[in-house]
Amino acid sequence: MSVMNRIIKLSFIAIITILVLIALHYISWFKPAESLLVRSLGVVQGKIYNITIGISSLKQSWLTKRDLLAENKKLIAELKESKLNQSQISILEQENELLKKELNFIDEHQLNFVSARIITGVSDPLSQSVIINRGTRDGIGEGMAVVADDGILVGKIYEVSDGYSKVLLLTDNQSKVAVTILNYDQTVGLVEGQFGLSLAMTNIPQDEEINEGDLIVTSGLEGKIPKNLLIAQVESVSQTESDIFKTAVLTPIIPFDNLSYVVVIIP
Amino acid sequence: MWFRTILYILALIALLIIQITFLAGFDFWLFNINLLIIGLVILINVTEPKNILIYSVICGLVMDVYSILPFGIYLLIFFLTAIILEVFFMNLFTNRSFYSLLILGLISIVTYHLIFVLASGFLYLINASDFSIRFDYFGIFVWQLMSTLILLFIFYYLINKVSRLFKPTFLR
Repeated sequence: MSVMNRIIKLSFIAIITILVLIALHYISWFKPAESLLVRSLGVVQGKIYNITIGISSLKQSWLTKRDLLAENKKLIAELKESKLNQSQISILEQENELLKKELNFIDEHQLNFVSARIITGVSDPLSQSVIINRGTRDGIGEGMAVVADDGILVGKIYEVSDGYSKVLLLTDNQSKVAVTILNYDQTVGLVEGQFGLSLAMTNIPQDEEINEGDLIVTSGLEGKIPKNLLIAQVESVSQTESDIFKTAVLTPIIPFDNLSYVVVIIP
Repeated sequence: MWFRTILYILALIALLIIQITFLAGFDFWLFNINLLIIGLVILINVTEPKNILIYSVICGLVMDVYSILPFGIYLLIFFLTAIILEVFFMNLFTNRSFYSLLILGLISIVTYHLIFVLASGFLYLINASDFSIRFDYFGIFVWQLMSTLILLFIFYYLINKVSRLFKPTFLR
């Protein structure tokens, strides 16, 4: 009984400690300690994260090789088909032009940006996020665009601290970005994450024509995210005639699971 | 005594880094292993009640700093899980046997997820959080339950090979 009494007493002390810690966090008095923790563990975490990426990329390269062989066969068949239709070539030219523009996006648009290193991904059953080593003192604020590979949007800043920031990846369920499809109608809609696995574009009116392979870029309707950042391309379109809107399943341009350096665009 | 406490804290921090940084870089099967709960279940068998509460607060605090979920959710989850584990350990599963360890592992994962679902659901309902439970959550729960039991089984035999922590002691 005395042991149980001791546990109750200790629990009471622990509850007060927890409440104090939570209060200190929300009034930002605990932020310096949090920054110190992230910075001090970040040294080890950075190295471990690189090892993780190395292991992941080993597996990825094996999978890529296997996929490339399959894709090669598919491409040969597709090439024969594309030769029959010259109009396809002009579409590819357009896409190629856009990709070139995206590659030089930052230089061309002379945007302010901060380059950042990913300290760690976060293992969490409810969210898909990473932590980067830049924070408010580098000019970063909530809602800013996080891009990789010269202009491909990968996420948004969700929470900022002094020396680090939490980035919500586009594949997260809660992620929503206003976008435009580069089709004839310049269709606008929302890109939402799909359980950490893929992306989907919702709120597309039924009468808009969307084709597989169409590119999706940011619409610029969100104040902190510049226009024309490449996001993904259309993989398939699902529509039911009774619905007002249709949905497109998208393929990200780059995989989100082995990012190591990103750029935060400061509007 | 102090040496052992520091050793346990360092071991927990190592588990935290592996959990947050290493496992997070992999797919579903590794991503969803809950090493910290396994650490707590093992520690509850080898340390005092006071210490297990301190360890649970440390785990919750570090997880909260890294998590995108509202601050305090992991502090609450780890603390309440530790309390419930402690109560079961003190009253029912006291003999440090293999079966006690597995049952404590099972209780810990069920408690952890129950509190996680209730806390995150409540915070979502009152608009304090943007994150709600997804339809694949049950799969995560089942996998964590299985992986925790498998890893506890492995750790039990490994610890028994190198130490007497889980072996019964008799007074002469």
